Amino acid sequence: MNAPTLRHRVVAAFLLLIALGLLESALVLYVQREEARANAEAERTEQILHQVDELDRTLSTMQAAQRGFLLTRAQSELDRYQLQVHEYQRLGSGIPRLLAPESRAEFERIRELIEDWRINASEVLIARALRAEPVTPQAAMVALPRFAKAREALSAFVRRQSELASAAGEDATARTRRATAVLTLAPLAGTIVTVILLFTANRGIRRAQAVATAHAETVIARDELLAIINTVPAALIILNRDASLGLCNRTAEQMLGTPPPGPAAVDYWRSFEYHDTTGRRLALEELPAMQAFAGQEVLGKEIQMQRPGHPPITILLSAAPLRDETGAVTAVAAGFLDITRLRELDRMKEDFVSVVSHELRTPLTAIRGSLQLLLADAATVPDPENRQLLDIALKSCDRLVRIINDILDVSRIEAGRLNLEPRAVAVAEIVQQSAEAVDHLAKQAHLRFDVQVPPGLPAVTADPDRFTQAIVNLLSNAVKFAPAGSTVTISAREQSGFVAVAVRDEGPGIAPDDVSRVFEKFQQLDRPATRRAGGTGLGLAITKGIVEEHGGRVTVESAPGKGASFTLWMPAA
Amino acid sequence: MKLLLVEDDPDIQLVACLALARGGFIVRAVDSGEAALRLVEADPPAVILLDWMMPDMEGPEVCRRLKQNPVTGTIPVIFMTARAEQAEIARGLAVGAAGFIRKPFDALALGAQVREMLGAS
Repeated sequence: MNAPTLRHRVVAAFLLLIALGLLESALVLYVQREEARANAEAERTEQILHQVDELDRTLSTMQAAQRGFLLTRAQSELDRYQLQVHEYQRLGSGIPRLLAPESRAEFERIRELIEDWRINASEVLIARALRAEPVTPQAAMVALPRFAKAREALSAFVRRQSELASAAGEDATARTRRATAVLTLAPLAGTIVTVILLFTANRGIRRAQAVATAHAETVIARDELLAIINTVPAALIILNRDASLGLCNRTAEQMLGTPPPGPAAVDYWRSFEYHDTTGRRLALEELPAMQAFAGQEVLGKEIQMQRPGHPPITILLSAAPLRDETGAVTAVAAGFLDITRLRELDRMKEDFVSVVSHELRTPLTAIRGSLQLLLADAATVPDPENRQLLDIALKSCDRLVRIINDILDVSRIEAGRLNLEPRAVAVAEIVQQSAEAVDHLAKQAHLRFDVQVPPGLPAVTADPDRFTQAIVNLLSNAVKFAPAGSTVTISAREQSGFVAVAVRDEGPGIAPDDVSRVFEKFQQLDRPATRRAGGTGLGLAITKGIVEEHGGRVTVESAPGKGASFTLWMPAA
Repeated sequence: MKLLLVEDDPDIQLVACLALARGGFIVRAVDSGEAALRLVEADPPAVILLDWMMPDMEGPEVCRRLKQNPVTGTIPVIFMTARAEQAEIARGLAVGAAGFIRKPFDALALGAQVREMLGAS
């Protein structure tokens, strides 16, 4: 059921007010008319009663004059009688005009009674006047009851008229009272209803205002959002189920062009060529956006896309399904970046690093070989100082070689081109080989390796060379910072599907603020014991890259003065 | 044991010659693949140490030609390269390489390294 609209309420309130006004006017008119009528009626009744009273008095006078004449035969009495007869006739014909029709008949009957008496009385008078003899009491007696009867009827009439008048008056009063009550109550009720209507209307108006404000704000927010969407340098689209575009920002339009509206868009998309990162051609159905239609969220997929007549571009794409209230996927929101230039730069960097490092190796080969041969025989360079200088040159040369190797590795890790050759390897063996590889360094630093690998550890799936490299990096790191005479512990254990290889030194440890930075490139932290440092600053970054490429992770626990413990978590085979 | 060293960089050639001589090899050095191919039939060495990157003919091509020739095909070829990545190793093995020595090599251990590879192949 629909609630009455705001306009309906306001219109209803005004209609009610108009109706009330009309009703009030009608009532006022009615009350005025009733009052006027009641007044007129009262006046008429008063007049009737007055005249009837006069009639009564006239009759009495007539009777008195008649009797006087009968007794005295005085002319004056006769004249009085005659005068009263005129008066009576005037009243008798005047009263009926004042009477209501229903009372008129009654009055006529009374008049007949009076007439009976008067005729009788007149006859008696005439007889007396003619015969000049006294009237017998009998004759007079005949007139008396008639007169009495007429007077009685008259007084009864007066009573009835009074009753009628008072009844009519009461009636009029009652009607007026009712009308007045309505006159008072109707505006009250009307006002209450109107107030309620207007109050709710007011609430409605406020709500409507709030809605209007909210709408205006929404429109502004939407415009802002659209402006932002249109200015971001990322492509943003909403792809409908029929492959048409529901939204396409400016960047997307530059990358995709404008597909035709409706289902014809499918052919448009089919005219593009898509490849994955390995160069395999992708059908339209294999695109990440289609996975989003299946309800999956797609994050950071890299594909190559070529629009007909345009150079191919590499895009990094994320897509998420958009659902209706039933949860059905109705469209897909997708955002993508043109990373063609980035990938090109990556390749250029990689190529550059590769070329530079290989070019550096050629002269290094000559320098290192020469120095090694020079130092091979003590007789060739007998002077200890000279030998020492050559030795420094050789060590620096070795370090340079390590740096070049590490830079190459970092470059490979960053490009995702480590090209691992994983197989099931025994952890104990790898740990042993790693320890042997760093053994000479440990001896130089007067350190002891304590290898604690329990038997029965599960194998891990790893590229053995890279796994070894990861552990060697941790060991050389520990050797660099462990104080002379201390022990570096290498332990291994199994924990929830992972084999953890931990390398613990008794060195100065790492400040809490620095812990998160140890795996960053070229981060040789300012540790007090950097005397034997001289690393490349890349070892831990490489270890982290190698382990993560294997699906594992590296953790570090340390506190200043308490040594450091690095743990490799490699997925068990 | 006679060894043919094919290396275009004269400095590295000299260092490698000295290192290999220390390792007990009788070394003959040339600076190009073509020179190596010319020489190898007349005076077949026991092992050939071949640089990968050379201006006129790349190491793998030299190796491929050596392996094609029945006279020289049996001589073990060891690549000496600054670029020993998986792709190169695969390519080297495909043309019949017996091993790889990565530059910069250890001058004091070079001879031993070569001998080890010969023993293994």
